[in-house]
Amino acid sequence: MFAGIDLGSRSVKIALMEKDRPPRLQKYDTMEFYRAHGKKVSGKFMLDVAGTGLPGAGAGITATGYGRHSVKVRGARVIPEIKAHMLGAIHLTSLADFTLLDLGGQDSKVALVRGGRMVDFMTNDKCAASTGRYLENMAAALNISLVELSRHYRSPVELASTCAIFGESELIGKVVEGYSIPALAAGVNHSIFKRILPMLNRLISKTIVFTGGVAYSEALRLIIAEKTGAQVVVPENPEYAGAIGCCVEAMR
Amino acid sequence: MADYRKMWESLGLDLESHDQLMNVLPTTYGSVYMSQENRPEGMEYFDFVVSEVHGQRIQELQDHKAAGGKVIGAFCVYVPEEIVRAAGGIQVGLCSGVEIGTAQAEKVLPRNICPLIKSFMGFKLGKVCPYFESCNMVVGETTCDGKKKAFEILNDFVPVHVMETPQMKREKDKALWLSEVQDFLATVEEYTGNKVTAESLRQAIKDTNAKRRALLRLNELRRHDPAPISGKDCLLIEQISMYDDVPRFTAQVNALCDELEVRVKEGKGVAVTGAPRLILSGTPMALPNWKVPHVIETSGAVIVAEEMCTGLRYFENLVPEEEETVEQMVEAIAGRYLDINCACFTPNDGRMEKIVSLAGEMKADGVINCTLAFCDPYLVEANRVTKALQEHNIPLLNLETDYGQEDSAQIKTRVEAFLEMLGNR
Repeated sequence: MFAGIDLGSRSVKIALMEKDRPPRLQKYDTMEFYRAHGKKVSGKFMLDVAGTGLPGAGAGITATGYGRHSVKVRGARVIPEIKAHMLGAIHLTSLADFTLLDLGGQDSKVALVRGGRMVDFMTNDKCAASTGRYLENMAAALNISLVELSRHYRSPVELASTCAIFGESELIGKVVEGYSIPALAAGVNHSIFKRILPMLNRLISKTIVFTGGVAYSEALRLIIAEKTGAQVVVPENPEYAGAIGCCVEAMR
Repeated sequence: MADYRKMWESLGLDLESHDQLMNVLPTTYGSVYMSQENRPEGMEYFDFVVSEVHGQRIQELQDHKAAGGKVIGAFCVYVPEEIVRAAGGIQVGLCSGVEIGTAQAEKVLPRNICPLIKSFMGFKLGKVCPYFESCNMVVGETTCDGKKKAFEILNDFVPVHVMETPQMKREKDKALWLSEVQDFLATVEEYTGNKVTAESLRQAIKDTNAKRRALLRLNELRRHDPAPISGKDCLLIEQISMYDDVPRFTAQVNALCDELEVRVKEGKGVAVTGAPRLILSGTPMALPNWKVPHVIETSGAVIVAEEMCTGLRYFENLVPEEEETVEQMVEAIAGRYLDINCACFTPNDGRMEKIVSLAGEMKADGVINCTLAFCDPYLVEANRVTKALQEHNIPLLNLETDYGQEDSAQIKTRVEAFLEMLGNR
């Protein structure tokens, strides 16, 4: 049994894997997870994963994600984030040559994968623009669900800001101008795409493997495919790529 | 540690804010520096210097002043310290490198400005830098718009002499710079009340060259694999070189180099043989800014050179020692300083050539170009660096950051991915 844990900014993803069996997956809200399973031990925040469905605080845990260095998972080996996501994407898609696009809760990553190895990468700076957090805030501003937000991509309103904070004021301005919810939602989805396009342009492939929680957005999938001309592959359970990648690394 | 509170009080420091700074520094230093394994024993001196950064060295400056000496502060490797030394003065690098006095600094500066500028203004207005408070004169330069304009404001609080650094390196620019160095000499003479003689200037050139030679020797030793010393330790030494007593510092660096030569012979190092070797380039990292080097070296790589002002740009060229008259020596000094590859120059091809040749000399696997936020010269020049390194097939990671710690995790993600990529080559 191998356990992978991806300590994301918005959610903690756990994958349990055995050879030749489909992975078992679990997701927790990050804050709730830290409160329930973490405590400070001699100045360091320790997570004890016993009781979460993971095979106890024993061997076989591999961790990655935003919190991988600030949070200690008892008995875990830590691996780099982009590597974990790439390994997970390879495992989930059986592809070896592609551009990985991972849009998470608070960051975005693009990696160029050739022959199953990462040859180049880009990430956003310290800013949550064009990430899940931006979508969450914009959905809240429009008073619609994330699922509803992800339905719209036609006739978008032009939005200049992808800032998770300031985007809201611009959006409210457009609401006041009388645009419809579908047009506003489409505008939000297009604005994320505009923000990641420079990264995609630099590291483009015929196939884009789209992972992270934002990959659930059908609108974004369609926009990316249409505008880049690439084939967009979204694996099942795309936000577990990091956790699954941890298991893959441990099994190697 | 001796009790320095009286001295700090007499310098007019804000003791409460100063205490806060002094409480943070040892913790940071402990986790960044003392946690390193296989450190050379010779680092003990530099650990001591940091532990006394606002203590013994400040006491020495007060003793120097009590004996009629002057202390001159500077921010830039363009300020010719040979001249200050020849006039019997002490030149010190001024405090920056940490978020401090932000609220006070933002009263006179825009919120979005280079963190280095905001930091030095914060140190001055917050009265937390004993170096600043020991200076009766500060020397500024025109190496960037932000500093240039900030010096006008700083002049409200301490006299600032601004040297006009040219922006190109043509003959007429060289003439301008020579006249600036000549003016600086006259200003320093007037300020210290001491005449610069051929003898005193020759000696000052020799002393400063000896310091630069010791630093060059240290950097030569980093060519070896495994690297005998960490990049973090070298950066620290380069930061300390800006304010420590010159002959003492030189002797300590040379003693450290003696130890490192033995290490090299024995094949000992701070990282495993074959660990990824990186060159750090970009904007200066003023003490105590160790964020990015710490991330890099705790991710399994070792830094083998700093192509920065707190690094090679400070010591890579020497002033010729064989000139006869003061005039000739001043000309030689002006020439040496204009060879520094600062991004304020257009074009700045010398820097690109330097990074490329350095990558070969140091057997580097890649370059990390790290720029402070809002630093236009270096941020824009990142494009030229990228182009030059692509032409030579040298991997590069560009980072933009500030003195805050909140982006450490993102930087680590990128550095780890960069190392992963180097491993795949």
